[in-house]
Amino acid sequence: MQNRSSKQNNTTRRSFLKTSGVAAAGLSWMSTSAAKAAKTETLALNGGKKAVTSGRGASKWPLYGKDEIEAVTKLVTSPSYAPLAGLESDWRKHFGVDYCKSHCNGTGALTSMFFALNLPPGSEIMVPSYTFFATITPMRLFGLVPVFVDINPQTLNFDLEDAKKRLTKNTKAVLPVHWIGLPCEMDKICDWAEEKGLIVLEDSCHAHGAKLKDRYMGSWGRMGVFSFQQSKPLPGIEGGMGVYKEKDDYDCATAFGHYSKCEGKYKKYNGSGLATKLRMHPLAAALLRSQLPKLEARNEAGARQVRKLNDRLLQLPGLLEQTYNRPDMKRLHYSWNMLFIDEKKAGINRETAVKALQAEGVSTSNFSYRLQHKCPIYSEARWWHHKPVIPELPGSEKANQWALPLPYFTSDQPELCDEYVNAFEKVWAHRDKLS
Amino acid sequence: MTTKNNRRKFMKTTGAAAASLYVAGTSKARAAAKKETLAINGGPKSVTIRGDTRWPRFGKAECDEVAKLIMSPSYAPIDVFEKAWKDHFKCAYAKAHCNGTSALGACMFALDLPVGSEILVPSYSTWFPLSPARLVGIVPKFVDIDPMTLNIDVEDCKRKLTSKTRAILPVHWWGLPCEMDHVCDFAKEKGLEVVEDASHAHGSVMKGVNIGNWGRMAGFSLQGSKPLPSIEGGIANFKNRLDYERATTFGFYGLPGKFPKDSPYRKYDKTAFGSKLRMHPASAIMARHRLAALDEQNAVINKMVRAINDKITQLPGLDEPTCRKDTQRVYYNSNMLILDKKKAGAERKAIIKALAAEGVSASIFGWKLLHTYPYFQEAKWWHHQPAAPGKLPGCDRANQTTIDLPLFRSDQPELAEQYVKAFEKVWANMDKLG
Repeated sequence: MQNRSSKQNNTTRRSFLKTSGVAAAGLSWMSTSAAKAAKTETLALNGGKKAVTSGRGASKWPLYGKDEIEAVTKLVTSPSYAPLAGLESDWRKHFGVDYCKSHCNGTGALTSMFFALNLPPGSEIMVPSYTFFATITPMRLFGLVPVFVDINPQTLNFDLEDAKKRLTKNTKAVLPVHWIGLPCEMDKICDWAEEKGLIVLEDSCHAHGAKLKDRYMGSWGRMGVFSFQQSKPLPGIEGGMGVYKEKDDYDCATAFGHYSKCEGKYKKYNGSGLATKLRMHPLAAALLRSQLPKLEARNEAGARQVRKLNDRLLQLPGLLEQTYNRPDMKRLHYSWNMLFIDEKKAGINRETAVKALQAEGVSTSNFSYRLQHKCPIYSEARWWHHKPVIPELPGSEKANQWALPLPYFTSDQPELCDEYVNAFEKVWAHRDKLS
Repeated sequence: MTTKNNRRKFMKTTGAAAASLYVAGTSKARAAAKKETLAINGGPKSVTIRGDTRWPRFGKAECDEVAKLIMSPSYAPIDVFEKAWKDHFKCAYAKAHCNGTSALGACMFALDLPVGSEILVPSYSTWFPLSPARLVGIVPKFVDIDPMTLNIDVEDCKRKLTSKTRAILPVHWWGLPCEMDHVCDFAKEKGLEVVEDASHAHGSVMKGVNIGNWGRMAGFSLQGSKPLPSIEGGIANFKNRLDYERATTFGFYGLPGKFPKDSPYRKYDKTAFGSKLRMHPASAIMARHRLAALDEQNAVINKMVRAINDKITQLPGLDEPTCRKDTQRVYYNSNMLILDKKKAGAERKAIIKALAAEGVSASIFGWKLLHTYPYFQEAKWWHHQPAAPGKLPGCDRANQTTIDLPLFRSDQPELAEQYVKAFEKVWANMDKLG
């Protein structure tokens, strides 16, 4: 009974919030009846009831089922590399690309992409520091050096304005990362790159199926890469894919890690390849072939799920989400539903909010992503053609100060969403006392 | 059976060097074999049983555990496999990789040699361990093999040694161990690092020491065709903690943080040194199951090889790679034979043709020598152009003399008998092959 009445309260609060149309004005929200209702509930931090009690397994990933079991059983029973060519063919059809090559992982796809650039040693590539190491460290194997670019803390993506300031005479390429499924503004980036004669590459390891202006991420640059590691939107447990606009790039990237698949002007290297072996495990390919047809529907369902939650949460003062607010972007979500807290507007600092939210049962943290430029390998000249410049990156720092990550629910969770909203409202209603 | 035994006994005791002598012999057994019409001339086929060569083979246990992994994905099987591997092979440190090339590539990185260093390697071997060597500035120095073992020729290594030589990379071809005692003595004397390419030799032993434990480091492929198959996978053995840590840091961003506090590589946690080489956990599951079955499987294959080779290598001009008494080999890819055509009395091609007609899956075996690949002939890929090795008479001889028979993976004694019969028939009628 108590549960039900609390639920009714929630509904009333929410319907007010929804209809009031107040976006961020703290004062307005505080004067609402919803805020008042929330205020009467005791915070879990102070011994009250936890707002979040459901949601076990809500973030389970990957979601494999009968199809996948059948696919891998078939492969283990009669092993073959056939799923690799099958996956590449499926991929080309699905994404409408001319050339693609499967690799053992996304890092392998990135490494062979850097090789295919065929740039003179000492060339520099602009890349965010706010990324996974694999976007950067393989560069060193070819004498390439990163130019660390800041991110926009509102999008966690490549900051074009910052890039403009950091352009060097050695800069030959840009490598934006579509962070957790939010496309970078590739239209603007491509325009600028063209003006400056830079090659555009894309790290689409988080953005399988995301689009800008109805164009898939990965197809904006000259080359792009995807990861299929098990946490990714399209999971093969381990795996990666490179996509190439030009056949020469495809041939070169393929010759790097696929000794028996050399084509075009690299055909003569058949039998040895040009450096290593990056063949995908065919079991990964079998899993991916089974997952690919489900990708878009799953991405869309995930985005709807996040919208339902965020549309309500973002009415609280000082809460924001990772977005460009561009209607021509079709994002997806990967791993986190990333929110930000503007401490001044919210009237509560992040640490306090996190503590109170965690007590309510919300899965969140004082999230800080490892910034690559601060890792020792970049400060030691011996690993590089020349030592990378270690810059100040205020946007990246800001991202780490205000991020308030929520889990990405991978299935429909209406009750859990209600509970999350309830938890936030409770904490916000008491925030004057908490601060 | 008796007839066959008599035939063999005769062949062994006659000590006849050339087939013509044998053919001219008077034994009843020889006469019996000679009376049979070769299948190539319309006679009955000697081999009528289908040989079980299916490989790799995985069973229900692998299927079930992989299915379990799919329902609840995790990287835990990798640790479990590494531990089982270390226990089985009694090695101090091991790191599973996505493939053997990567495992050996990580070893090359772990050597930490000055750029331009050279590594002695047979031209008669695979590019797999060498290709990634260029990424760390190591250059191959091609050497010859002993045509009676297909393995690295230490005498030629002595001749090819230069001031840049820093390491040696013996490859245990098709599972036959290199003479690691000699290799290691030579390396020690010259101050060279030994890295073994053990990709064909899972379970081979020399002087009681597992292959893979002789060198400072060793790499194994676990690709689908290998004695221990996981479809795609590899693993490296390390004697020293620091080698393990350095090699691991090359391709495992998440592990340096778990190294002991005093490790110089700990600080590279979360960046690694430029790659990601994690094994697929499904591979780890398959590899662990195959590891448990490895000795038994190797024993079956060995038994079949012995059942055939113990008999046919008594035929004039037919040998198998020499395996020392203190060595237990395994077999990978094929049962390789070595033909001395003069002693046998006919050309390899003609013998293969006659054997094939008898139902024997025999083929001429040729291996493209590494130094002839464009990759190794173009300076642009290397710190400096790998030197042309000049004449490699051992490699050339191997390519003129080797014959491949399949490896049979089940105990099929009748099939072995049929194979032996086919060889004896062809040898008895050698004069008809021209």
